[in-house]
Amino acid sequence: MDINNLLAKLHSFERKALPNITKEIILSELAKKSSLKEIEATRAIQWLYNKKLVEIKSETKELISLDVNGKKYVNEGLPERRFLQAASRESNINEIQKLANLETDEVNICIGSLKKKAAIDVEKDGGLKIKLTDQGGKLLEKEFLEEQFLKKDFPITASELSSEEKFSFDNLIKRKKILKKETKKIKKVTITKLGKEVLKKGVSENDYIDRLTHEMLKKGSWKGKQFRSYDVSINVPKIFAGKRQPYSEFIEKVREKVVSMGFVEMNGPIIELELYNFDALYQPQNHPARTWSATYKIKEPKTGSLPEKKILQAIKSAHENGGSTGSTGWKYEWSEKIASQLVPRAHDTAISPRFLAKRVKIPGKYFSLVRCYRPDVIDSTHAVEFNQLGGFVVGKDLSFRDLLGLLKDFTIEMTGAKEVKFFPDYFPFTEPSVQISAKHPEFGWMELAGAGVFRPEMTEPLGIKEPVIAWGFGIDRLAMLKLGIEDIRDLFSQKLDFLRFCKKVL
Amino acid sequence: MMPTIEISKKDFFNLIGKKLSNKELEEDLMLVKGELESVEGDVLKIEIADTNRPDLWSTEGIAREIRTKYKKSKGISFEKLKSSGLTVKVNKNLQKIRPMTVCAVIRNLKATPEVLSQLIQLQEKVCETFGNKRREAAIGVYDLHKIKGPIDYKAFKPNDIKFIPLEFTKKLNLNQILRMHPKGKEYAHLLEGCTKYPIFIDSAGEVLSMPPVINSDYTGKVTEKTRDVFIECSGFSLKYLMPALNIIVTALVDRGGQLETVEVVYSNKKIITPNLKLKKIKVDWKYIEKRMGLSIGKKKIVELLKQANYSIKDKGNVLELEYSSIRQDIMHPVDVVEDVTIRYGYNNIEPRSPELITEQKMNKINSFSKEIANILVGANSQEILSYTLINKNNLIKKMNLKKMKVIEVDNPVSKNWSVFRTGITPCLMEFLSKNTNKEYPQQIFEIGEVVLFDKNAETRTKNPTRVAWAKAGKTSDFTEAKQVLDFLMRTLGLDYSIEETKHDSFIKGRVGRVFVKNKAVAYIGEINPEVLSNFGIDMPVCTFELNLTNILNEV
Repeated sequence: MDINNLLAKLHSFERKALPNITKEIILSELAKKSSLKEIEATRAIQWLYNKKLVEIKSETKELISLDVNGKKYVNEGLPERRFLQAASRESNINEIQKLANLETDEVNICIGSLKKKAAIDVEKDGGLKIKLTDQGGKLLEKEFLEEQFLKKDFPITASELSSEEKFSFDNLIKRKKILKKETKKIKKVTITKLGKEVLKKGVSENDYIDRLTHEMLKKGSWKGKQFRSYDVSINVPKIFAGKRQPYSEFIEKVREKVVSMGFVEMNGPIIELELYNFDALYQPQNHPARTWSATYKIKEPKTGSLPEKKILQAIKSAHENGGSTGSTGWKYEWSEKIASQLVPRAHDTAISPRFLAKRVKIPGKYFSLVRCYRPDVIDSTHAVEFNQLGGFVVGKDLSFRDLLGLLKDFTIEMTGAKEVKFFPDYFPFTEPSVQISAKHPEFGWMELAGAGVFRPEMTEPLGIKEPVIAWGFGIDRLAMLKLGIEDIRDLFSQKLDFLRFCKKVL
Repeated sequence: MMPTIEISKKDFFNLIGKKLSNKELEEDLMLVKGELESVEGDVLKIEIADTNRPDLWSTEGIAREIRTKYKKSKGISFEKLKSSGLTVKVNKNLQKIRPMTVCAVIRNLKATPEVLSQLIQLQEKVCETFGNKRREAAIGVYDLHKIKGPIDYKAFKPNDIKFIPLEFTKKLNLNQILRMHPKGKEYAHLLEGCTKYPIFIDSAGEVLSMPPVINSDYTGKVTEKTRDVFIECSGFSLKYLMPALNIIVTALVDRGGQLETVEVVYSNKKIITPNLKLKKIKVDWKYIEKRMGLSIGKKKIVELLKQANYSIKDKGNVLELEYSSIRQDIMHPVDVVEDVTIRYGYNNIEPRSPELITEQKMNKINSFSKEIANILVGANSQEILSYTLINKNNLIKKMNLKKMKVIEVDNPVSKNWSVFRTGITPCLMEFLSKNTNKEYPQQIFEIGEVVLFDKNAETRTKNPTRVAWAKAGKTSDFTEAKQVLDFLMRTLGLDYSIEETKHDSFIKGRVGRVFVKNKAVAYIGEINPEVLSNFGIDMPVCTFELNLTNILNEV
């Protein structure tokens, strides 16, 4: 690149730094000399390196620097110095401590250290008595090696210590928070030939406009000046702006899609009567799915209020003897009390009988996409709270064949699958019952939805004579596939970075 | 739970008289709503989706349905059974304990290892799944030659009787068995509260078993040398016992055993069991066509019904069908429709899309929620999503609140999901607490339902939809929260006012109640540092939570 061009690209950090890299220099020193913050100097040498104006060598070094107490002692003197001075006037240990203004743990260290230097003798005479030795006397006038060491210009490099310094260091590092030793990466910078050429041209700051300001525009002072060129390929700090939660957005899109297929959305309560969750779906009250392990129970309140008698009576007869539906029924005594119990909604189908009993138009298409709750083992494919998408179509002449058509349309719409396959299945409230699988290009056949024609024992007590075809999709599984999520719990991700960085699913 | 059945491939092919490739097998398993879970050498694992068809839960049952695809069914008939001459006397003292039993005898059984393992498996599946873990039906099978009739079925005090339970070597009394035998421990709860326990005992004083727990080692052990067996099924209602017994004996008859009846004598009646009299149902063949949505004609329907093991009397439009008593799932003509449809093959039906003109409508609150989300994204906030089931501690104690009425789950899997949230702010706090090492500011929101008490509601609860917003960061304060709320309200065109209020989750004097048309719709404020420290958050947090259901009609 042309030298002038290069010059135009130099950022003010680079302009400040480059003149100080005439010979090898370490980063921290460069920052000091160039009056840059260390982070600014780091950027400057990185940019200069990108322009091939400098070379950077990284070394790891053990650096010694002063810790909290170390800094204190540089000002106040080492405790043993104060101890020695006090001991030249007093012999009682308590008096010495007072005079030298020392903490008790410091006193012990002082005694140890000064005994090692043969500066004092300790006598046990009632209390402890301290006597200065000749050597101690001499030391009053002379600096300890440790004191000399603390005067050094920290941080210093561990590998460059002389043997005397090493001795002092070993003594001091053992003591509380005087020194610290850290492994640091040190960057050393040298200038390249190209760098020297650029420098020769002069890198003074004033020639280029770095940032266009309001002032310049007002005064027109930008006229006739050159703008510093940017490295337009450079990385910039990331921003985290407003964003939708991917699973929430997915659910919303599914809702819109189903509505666009001519459906009306239904909703129902999270805490549901067993009547709608089970009984109205022709699930007998002794059905295993109603026992403790598969459905949540709640502590309080235990029961809710049941709807009008007419529907209850019809449901009761359907269960007990088929009533007027032409069925034999389940042949047991149906209990109103059990039906009035409250449970967290265990499946989306709980909403259907509410609507069939009251609000449905014929012909009509209805759906819901709601949270459901089941006590289950919790692992990467099972959660105790999940979403289900389900619904029904009611119309005079609907048949199983129409159900297959509906399912196929749905599956293709939702997954884009080209090939689907049906399997006979079982649900207590549908007959015939079917499961649809779709061929996924990567994962092969995947179970997607369960469906069936509602049993007359279910629909007739609710006042519906027409056939009702019903379906339910495992929406969580589909979402995982679309969002590339492997653990079902990540649909409700509690990781901010995942949400910040995940890409939008279109 | 769907039962998974293990069968021997060789044995199965023998029973249907044909070898099948795995692909053909998978196809044919559709006839029994079965899915091939795994193939390991000769062992096939098959999951049967139909939890209401215990007759399918064995090699014999599966073969019974698939065989007719390859070998014309002889039709099904009812033959009068021979009596075994054996009598079982049921004592009245079982009344409140386990009062009912039905029994049968099978002679000339060729007890190959396959037959025995299938018998054990079928017995187990029927008792566990259909018999509700042996409560409603428990089945025992015994070596007939070790039994001297008549047999008494009678309740005994635990210390009055001793026998050697299966696979043990020492005589134990009944309490010892319940305490020490693995099956005793497993099923003791079924006899809880009884002072006497049910016992089958023969006229020589030999104990057969203590149902529904364990057989005796002497009579209750069936081996390859056993030729003739006695079978009993005990419980509370013939509704469960009859089909359970019939399913077992039908499987053994399929294996070539000869079935004989047993006389069961109750204090007030005498019954001869098993009763395999065929069941009947009438179906209009046009109804079948209509429900299927296909015109396949009566002839085809009759052919498929025969394959499905029905005997048919053609009465014009109406077909009078007879079927085995082990099909206890058939309640309504729609059940016959399914049998025909499955035989026809679901994948042979050309799907037809129903063409109906219907209205399209999204739930109002859901389309409103979407608008709210988009406004808040515009205000630079990250949407999050949490469970509505949360930790009670997070909802109340950590939020610096005292008592609160909440809907609590009685049987939680974990305390992390044990109560329904009454607000969304605790979910945001929990989220922030899990991300304290991520770059700040963190500006998040969530929209969703909460569960509140409402004594006038049918379900005693209501589920308003709320939005909660929070910002954690150095500059977070009341002003920042109010700016976002103000932006939201302005965009929705809503006038609002804020009054100072008290709320222990917030800093005193920095919390407000938001009103729209005199209706309180939101809280807004700076989170109490005590709450922040409870959640381990060391950044100030400001927040608001707005009831969307309440303002929906004002917009």
